[in-house]
Amino acid sequence: MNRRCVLIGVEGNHDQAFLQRIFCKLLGFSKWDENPETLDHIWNKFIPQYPTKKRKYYARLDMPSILHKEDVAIAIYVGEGSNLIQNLRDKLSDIDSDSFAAFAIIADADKNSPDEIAKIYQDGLKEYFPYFPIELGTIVKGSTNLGIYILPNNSDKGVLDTLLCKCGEMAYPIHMARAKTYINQFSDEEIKHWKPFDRQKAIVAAITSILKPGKTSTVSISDGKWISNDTAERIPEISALLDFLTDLIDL
Amino acid sequence: MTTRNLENITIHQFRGLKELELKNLGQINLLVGINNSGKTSVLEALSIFCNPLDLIGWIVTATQRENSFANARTSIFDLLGWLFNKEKSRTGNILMSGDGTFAIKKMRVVYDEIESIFLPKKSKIQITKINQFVYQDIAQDKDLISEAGNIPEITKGLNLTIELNDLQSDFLDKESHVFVRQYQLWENESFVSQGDIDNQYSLLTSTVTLTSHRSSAGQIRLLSDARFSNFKSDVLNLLNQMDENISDIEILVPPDSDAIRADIYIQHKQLGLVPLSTFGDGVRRLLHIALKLASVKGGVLLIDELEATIHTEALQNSFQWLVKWSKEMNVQIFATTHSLETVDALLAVTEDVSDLVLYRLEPKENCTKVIRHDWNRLKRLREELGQEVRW
Repeated sequence: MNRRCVLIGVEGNHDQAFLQRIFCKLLGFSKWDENPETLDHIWNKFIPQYPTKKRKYYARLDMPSILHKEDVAIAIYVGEGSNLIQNLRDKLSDIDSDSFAAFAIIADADKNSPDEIAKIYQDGLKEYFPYFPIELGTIVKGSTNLGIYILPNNSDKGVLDTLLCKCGEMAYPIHMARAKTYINQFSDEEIKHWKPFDRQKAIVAAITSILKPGKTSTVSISDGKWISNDTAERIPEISALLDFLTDLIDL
Repeated sequence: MTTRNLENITIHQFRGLKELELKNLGQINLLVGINNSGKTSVLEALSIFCNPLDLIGWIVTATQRENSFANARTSIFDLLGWLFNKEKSRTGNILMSGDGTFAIKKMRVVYDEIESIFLPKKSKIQITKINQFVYQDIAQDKDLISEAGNIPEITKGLNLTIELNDLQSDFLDKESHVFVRQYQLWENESFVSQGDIDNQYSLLTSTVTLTSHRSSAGQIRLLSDARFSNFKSDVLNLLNQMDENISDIEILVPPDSDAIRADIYIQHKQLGLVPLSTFGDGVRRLLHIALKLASVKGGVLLIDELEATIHTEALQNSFQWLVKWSKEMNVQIFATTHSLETVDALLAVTEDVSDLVLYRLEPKENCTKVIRHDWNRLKRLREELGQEVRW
């Protein structure tokens, strides 16, 4: 295989499912067919070789989502939240980072401001990508296109679920209204352990459970109506992210 | 502070290797890479660098891949020539540099093929450096042929010019101290003496190849030395990783043997007293590695395919022994491997950032790129991320 390979680092499984949905539903990509012969060699480095040590017998190592479209192959790599930089650094130390046609980080701003987060990623990745940008949503063009996008909109604090709630308002308006009413019934005392943006996460999780009981949010994001041509057209944040990804990959 | 014999090594030119850098070497240095990436060549280059004035060592290194000196099918001269990076025919260079407590910081060796006209029983015209035209001129000299009364024979030879520098400075720097020695070898002439070897330019080094454990030559001496060093009981502990019924190891002369030829015997709880040669490769190679380690105390041990002949279940305990004694005896180890299980087993028995360093060789057009992982990163890659690190 000799495709243009694009690596995108994300912090969690929901982010991975969200991006995969965008690429497949809106940009015409399809999931790798799991045939080793159609896998680009470089992705072998991202497929875990079991077993791991350190007595973590139940631990499951993340498999990147690998997507194909014509001459482009994308891997969406989940780096275990705050370990994303360290894990990416370790991965990149073992491969030729020049091999990538593009590299990007899609993260969220749950604790720090988007600018602060961009600086952390720039510092952490400059050894492998010296031109990794600090400007949010802008692609630095080169032999490897580079970019960073901080959810929900490169300027406000928030998380993926902040964006999903906006999608939900359009895709599932009745569910959204009822889920909010339900969540609002809990007293401050009952939700005192919540972190910022946990309210949005609880709303999305509640709707997911109503749409198909037992289904995880990851699956709902992948096959529900949260991301569609309709939401992409009418929600500026989704549209901006789409432009960012299109520019990153030179589609 | 520099504490290891070898802290950094750059192989500028050796065989097909170019500008290969091994930085921040550790106690155990593991070389991985695809076939033909140059792993064994690195071991050979280190063997030469550590003992550049040992001409016998050169020949042993050159013939190692042919299994043994005696079995070499290719001419020794040709095999020696292949150690060199040859940009022109008939001449080649080896160039290496390094730092650490070992005296040699730079080494350059120039190889020139030479030929002489040999007139049987009469005289020998030796031409230190001959090219095709000079040879033709002499060969066509009828007077010369008739005077000798025989048809001249052409003998091939080679000049080795070895330059050693104990400073980091450039070879062209006239202020730096450069030690130069020249050797001349001729085909069909027995090798007599290589002269004195300055200990300053020699580091105790030994090589374990895939098959060297099968040769009993030298093993008895090694075992005897180990016995005198009170090392035998620890060697037995290692052999017990392979077979817990091994209780002792001795040098004996078989009672019914005509010749007085000693051999190594193993006292086995089930089999009794049996020659080492009847044991499997696992026991024999582990013993070989242990004895070689003891023979290069304070030096360097080079092991080709570390995991060879050792069952995966025995890897971890065997390596625990190896790591312990390499530290105890201050032996820096360089080993090649194709085995991920070997990498994992070594990770499990080491605990310091410089205990274990992995170098992956990736041949490129103008150099051999080296990916270096210290113990910390290697541990994360393998144990946290489950990453393949051999290619």
